[in-house]
Amino acid sequence: MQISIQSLSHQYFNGKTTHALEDIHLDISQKQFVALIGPSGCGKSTLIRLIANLIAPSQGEIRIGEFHPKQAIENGQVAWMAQSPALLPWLTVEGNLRLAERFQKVKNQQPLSVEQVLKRVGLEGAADQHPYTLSGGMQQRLALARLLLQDAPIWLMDEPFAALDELTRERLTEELFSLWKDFSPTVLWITHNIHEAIKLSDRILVFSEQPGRIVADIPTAIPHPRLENNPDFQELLFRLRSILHHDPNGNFNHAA
Amino acid sequence: MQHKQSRKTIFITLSIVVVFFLGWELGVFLTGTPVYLLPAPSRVIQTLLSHPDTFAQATFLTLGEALTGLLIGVLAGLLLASVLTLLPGFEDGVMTLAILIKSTPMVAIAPLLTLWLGFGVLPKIIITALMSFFPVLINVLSGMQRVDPALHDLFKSWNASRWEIFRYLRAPSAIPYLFTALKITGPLSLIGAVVAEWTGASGGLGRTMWMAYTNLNLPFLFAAIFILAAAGMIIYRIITWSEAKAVFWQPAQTNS
Repeated sequence: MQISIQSLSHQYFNGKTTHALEDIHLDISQKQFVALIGPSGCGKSTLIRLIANLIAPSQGEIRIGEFHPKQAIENGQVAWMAQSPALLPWLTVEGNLRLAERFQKVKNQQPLSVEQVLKRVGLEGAADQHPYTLSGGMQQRLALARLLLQDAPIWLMDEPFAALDELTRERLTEELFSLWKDFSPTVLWITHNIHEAIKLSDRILVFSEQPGRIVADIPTAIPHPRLENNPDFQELLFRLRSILHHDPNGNFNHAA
Repeated sequence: MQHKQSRKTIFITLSIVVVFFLGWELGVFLTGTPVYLLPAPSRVIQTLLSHPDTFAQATFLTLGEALTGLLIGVLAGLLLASVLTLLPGFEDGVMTLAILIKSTPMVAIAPLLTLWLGFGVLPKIIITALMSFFPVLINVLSGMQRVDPALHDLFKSWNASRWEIFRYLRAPSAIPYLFTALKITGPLSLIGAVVAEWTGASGGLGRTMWMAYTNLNLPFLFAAIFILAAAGMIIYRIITWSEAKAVFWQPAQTNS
């Protein structure tokens, strides 16, 4: 297992205690594309942030291969991307990538160059521009390019396209899928869009409301390209909807 | 559009200034106010032009003191803000001391410094530096501390060190805050130098004002005030102009 999570719980303390995650057990194998869906505030982001070592868990253990999250970050095993493109506004497109390159960890594979990643996401003409001159979609493309540059085997994506308009989001989601096919990373992808989750992922984890628990762990074996008029697609969509809408209390415990 | 707007603004500004001085001139003329109470602007300008060397020398000295003090205060503020950002454990202690210095009226310290250090430029530079230091410290410190959380997470996910986060994220993020401080301290530095000169000096605009006041030579006094006002405005303009160049990624502040 590439990512292995045992008895993981997490609480936030700010005046009162918030139980963000409760008793998460999860094994994710290499090159899996996993979608995380669930109501807002159900701890999906917390889980991603715990794996990225941005916060430390209250209880339980996370293993990335043989490593703790901290070591995995040190070894450059994990790349993280959020809803905000998180670009440095005083640097150009190329400058942002050059900075990321500086933090690139040397691994066995031949890492991609700044020029290669720019070309891959279709921003080669914008290298000298500053982020504020780019559209929201282009800014997220740049963030994707930066993710590629990190050359990490695990991509943690916290609703990366949620702030974009429908059309741009669809395009970037397709782009992400094509990147996944080409570079075969393990992807943990938080999304609010059930259709996209079904279209792209190998596996869908459904979270309950706070405290976040995994109430369903559903493999998606529909052959690609997954069209919405496919009956299997519709069936899965219906199933996910009923889990999300009718059972917020998490009685579906691991009902895969 | 932008150009037209700024021309309109300049026109309005000039009109207000012209109306103000015409009103003043006319008021003095119609009421027959004696020159030892309020000289007409024309009289002030006349005085200014008939003693060019005296005023030039005084201006040069005061401006030199103000800008040297400003530079020292800004550098000290930047340095301390950086140290406190890198070593946050010292923040409470150092800030208590800084607020103590800030709360001490400079008008009270100035005569002491003159007593200890004489009538030369040094006490003026120290006063100006003390006045400039605090706004820079406060603003730059909060700029370095309040970085975009998404960017901070990104650097953490890159396994960046505290120094690297400072170098690539915190320091550049504080540049807009530095300019906010400069817009306060730039014009204020002139006041600092002048107030320090009042407590005893061998030259400068403050001394000119003091001498003119004791002799009830109000045209001379007002001439010095005119120079100070003009110098303050020029300093402010230089700072806002540099701000627009340096902080190019932030849209200019407009009221429209």
